[in-house]
Amino acid sequence: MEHADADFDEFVRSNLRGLVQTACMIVWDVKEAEDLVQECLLKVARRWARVGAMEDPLAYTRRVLVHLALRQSGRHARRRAELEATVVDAGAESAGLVGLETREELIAALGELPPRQRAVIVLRYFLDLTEPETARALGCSTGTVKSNASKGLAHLREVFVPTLPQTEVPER
Amino acid sequence: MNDTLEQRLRVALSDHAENLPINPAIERLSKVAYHPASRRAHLINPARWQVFGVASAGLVAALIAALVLTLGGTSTAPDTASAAQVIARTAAFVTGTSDGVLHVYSTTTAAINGRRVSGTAGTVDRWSQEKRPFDYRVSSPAVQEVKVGNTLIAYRADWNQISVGNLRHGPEPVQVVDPLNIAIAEIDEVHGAGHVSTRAPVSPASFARTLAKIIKAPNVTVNQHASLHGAAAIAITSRNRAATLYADPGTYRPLELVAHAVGVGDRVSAHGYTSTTVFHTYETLPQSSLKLPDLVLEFPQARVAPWERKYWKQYWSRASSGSAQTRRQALADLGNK
Repeated sequence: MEHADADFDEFVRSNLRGLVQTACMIVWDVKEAEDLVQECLLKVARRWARVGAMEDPLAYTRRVLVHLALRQSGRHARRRAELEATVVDAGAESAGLVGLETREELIAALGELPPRQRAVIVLRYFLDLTEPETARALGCSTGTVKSNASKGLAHLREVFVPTLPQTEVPER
Repeated sequence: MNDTLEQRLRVALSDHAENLPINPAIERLSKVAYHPASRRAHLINPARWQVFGVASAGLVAALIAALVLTLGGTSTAPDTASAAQVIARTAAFVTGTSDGVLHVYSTTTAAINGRRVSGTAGTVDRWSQEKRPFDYRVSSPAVQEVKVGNTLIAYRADWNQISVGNLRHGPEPVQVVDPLNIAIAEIDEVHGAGHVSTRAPVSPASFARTLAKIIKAPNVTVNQHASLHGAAAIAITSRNRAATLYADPGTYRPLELVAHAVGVGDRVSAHGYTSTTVFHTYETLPQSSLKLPDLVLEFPQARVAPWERKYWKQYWSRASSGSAQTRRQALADLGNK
């Protein structure tokens, strides 16, 4: 038992930060991500005897985490939709934006993606998982991963165009 | 393009991840998570503990009140009802009538860890319609802004420039300088009553309603015997103490709003940030008092330019990236531009 404890401790120590980062980029909220990782690790801890013996315990843990994160994102999205419906003059449009030049802006655009597309982007381009690995983490088919990645990138590409040359309009 | 985008994504995600303000205490989680006895005690983060604490206290109070009522003695019910009345009356004052024009003259100061900062500080005079088309006029020493229908016109004294924008196109321009607006956004964000839409910070149209929403949110505490600068006041404080609205105990007129950015529900916290808004005037006037000046006529020497979308887009991008701090900085940068 003590050995298992030590194994699990080591596993958590090595992967905790990465798990929180991944969760955070899916749910888009640090506190929420920390909670989710706790919940995820509790689940993993209960099954550690079996999970620890797996070839890749991290892949299993990641799968649990992504599942929890997407479930949580769905709740948030519904809540956000309700709240935004009450905002008057929500006339802001994101279409047609130009000049995504900085990383910060790219991250902001990423935040606009639906959670599942964002999860695919995060797993593919932050964790550098392959498409099959991403599919396993998400519990879906490789085709779904490709489709979500394609849609996500297409959205980013829409806004990711070179800065238009300055016109005669004076700078504000 | 694809390669560039993917490469940039990798770099951006990596940078973003490194800069996330992850609580160092979570590093201790491994011990906590594995040992069943300690799980419960540590599973809930402090913010949730507060909520549970308040909820538990409320439940206990309700039980006691019910018990006292059942036994026929004097109860704590009048206090509860009184608090509810205070909230309702303050909210009613805040929102005024939908047919009226909200006039608020205020001064906001901001401080980080007690040190005064200028980014979101200033005096603002605003008149805003409380029903469609939500036209408004906002004046500060540096900026005057008028919205008529879908047209937004702003005059900046330091640039001697008038900018004209159309709200039908592109992101909704927001006011360059309106510390009160920002303070309200802060509170709404940290309060937990609701997130500010990432697309639109509180608009002048929704200002009064947002303030009322905060006051009427669950778990606010009401102190009817508070004092403000030596005078009696009502204090309505949000559940996480992120915001306190002081109101006149006689008329329920808002006197002062103190907001702390504590980062609940936010991606990045701005610890130690406090904004204090003093309402010199908070009143609802007849519709006829909304006089929308023609800034072009008023400042004939000013250069007139279309509202540049890219300029606002940059603001929006930064503002919608989430944190209150980022938004404040974006606004401060706009102000300094």
